Amino acid sequence: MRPYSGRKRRTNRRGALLLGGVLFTVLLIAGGAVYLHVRVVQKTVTSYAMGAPVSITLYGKDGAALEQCGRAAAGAVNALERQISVRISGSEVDRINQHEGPASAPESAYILKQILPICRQTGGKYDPTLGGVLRLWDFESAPKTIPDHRQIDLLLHDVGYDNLEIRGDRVELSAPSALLDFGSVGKGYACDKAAEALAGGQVSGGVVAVGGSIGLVGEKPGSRLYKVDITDPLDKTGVFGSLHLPGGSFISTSGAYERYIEFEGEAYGHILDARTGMPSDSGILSCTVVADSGLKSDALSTACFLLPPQEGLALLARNGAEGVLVDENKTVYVTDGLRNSFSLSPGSGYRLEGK
Amino acid sequence: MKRLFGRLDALLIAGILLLAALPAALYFAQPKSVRANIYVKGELYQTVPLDIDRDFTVTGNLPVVIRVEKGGIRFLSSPCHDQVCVRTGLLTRGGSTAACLPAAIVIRLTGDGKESDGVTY
Repeated sequence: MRPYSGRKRRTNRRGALLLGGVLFTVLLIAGGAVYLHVRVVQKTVTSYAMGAPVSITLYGKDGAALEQCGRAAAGAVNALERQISVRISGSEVDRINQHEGPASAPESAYILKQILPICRQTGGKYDPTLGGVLRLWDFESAPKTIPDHRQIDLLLHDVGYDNLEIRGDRVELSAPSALLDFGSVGKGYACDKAAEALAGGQVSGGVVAVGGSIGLVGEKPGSRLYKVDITDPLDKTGVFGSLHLPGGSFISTSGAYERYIEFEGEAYGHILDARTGMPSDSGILSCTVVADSGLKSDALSTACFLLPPQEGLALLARNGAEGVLVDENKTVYVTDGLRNSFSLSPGSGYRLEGK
Repeated sequence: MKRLFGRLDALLIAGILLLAALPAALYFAQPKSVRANIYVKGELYQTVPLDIDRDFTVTGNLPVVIRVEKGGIRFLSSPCHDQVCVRTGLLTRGGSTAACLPAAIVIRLTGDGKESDGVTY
C-alpha cells in the first residue's frame, strides 16, 4: 500500500467532511420522508347503496375524524337513495310514480332541471321517464327472455319528458303508464352528495366511489393527481386505460357490459334508447365522462352511450365536459381536454383514434 | 495516527449509512404480490394470498364459494339470483373488484403497486 502523504491526509479530512455532509443530508431526507409518510393517514369506509358497493377513501391527519367524515358521506348517499330510488316506497320518485298530482320532490326537481337539457340534446333517446320499459325488461333479475315488442310499444306511448311538470320543488308525471327512473344518474349524483358531506375541515383528499361512479376530492398526498382506471368493456376484470385527474373531477362510465340479458345467442345491454325501448345500437361499447359534478358526468355518460361517437363528442363539448369513448371497432376517442390525462394500457388491444 | 478518517471511521460511517437506509430498504422490499381483500357487509373480513389454490365459503347475507386459482380469485358459485358475481370471472390485477351484492360480499385486489385510486365502470 502506498504511504499516505500530507496532501492525501487533507483530502481525507475533506472526505470526512464531505461524507459527514452526505450522511447528514441523507438522514434529513429519510427523516423528512418518514415524517411525511406518517403524517397523512388513510381511512376507507365501505357500505352499500343503490344496488352497488360504496367505497369512501379519505386522507387527512386525524384517523378518527376521517372515519367520522366517511360515515357521514356514506350516510348522505343512503339519504339520497331514500329520496330518488324507484324501489323504495315513499321515496320522491315512488310518490311521483303514483300519478296522484304534483308531489313535493326537491331532489327530483333539481335532477330534472339539470338533465332535461341533455335529454333534449339527444333528441329524446335519453329520457328519465323510461322506467316502465326498464321494469318490463327487468335487467336486475337477469331473466332468460326479452320482452315482447308489442308490450314495449304499448309502454313507449307514454314515455316522454314532456309529460313531466316541474314547478319549484313539485314534480308531476301526467302520463299514466310512464314511470320516472333515476337509475342513469343516481350513483353520479350520490358522489356529489358524498363530496359535499366531506367539504370543510378534516379531509385533505379523498376518493368517493358509488358503484362505478367516482368523485375526487382535494389532493392525493404525495402525487397531487389521482389515477382512475377505466374498465375494459370486453373484459370487465381488466382495464384499457387510466385517467390522471385532480380533485373536483367526477367520473362516470356507461357500458352495456355492466348488465345484460343473454337471449338466443345475443346480448341485450341494459341501456335503452327511449325512442325504441330497445338496447342502444349506437356502436359505442363504453363511454366515460369527466365533469365538474357527478350528476352531470353520469347523465352525459348515459346520453353519450346512446349516440354515435361523433355526436357523443359534440354533446360533451356542448356541455363543457370531457370524455373517453370506445366504439365496437376498439377505437378509443379522447376529447382534447383529456389528451394529457389519459393513457392507454399497453397491450390492451385498443387503438387511439387517428393513430 | 493523525488521520481524521481512519478505517474504523469508514466502517462507522458505512454502518450509519446502512442503518439510515434500512427503513427505506424495508419499505421497498415489501412483497409486491397481489392479495385479495374480502369484505362482508362493508367490513374487511379476510385477506387472502393468491399463491395457494383453494376453495372456501364466505357467508354474508348468503353463503358464496370463492376459488383461488392461477394467481387470481373469483366467485365460484353463489345462490344469488343474478349471478353477476360469478360472471365477473377471475380477478388477477391490483385494483380490480368483484361483488356479490345480494350476499353483501366484495373482493378487491391490492398490493401489486399498479392499483389505482378508483375504477370507473
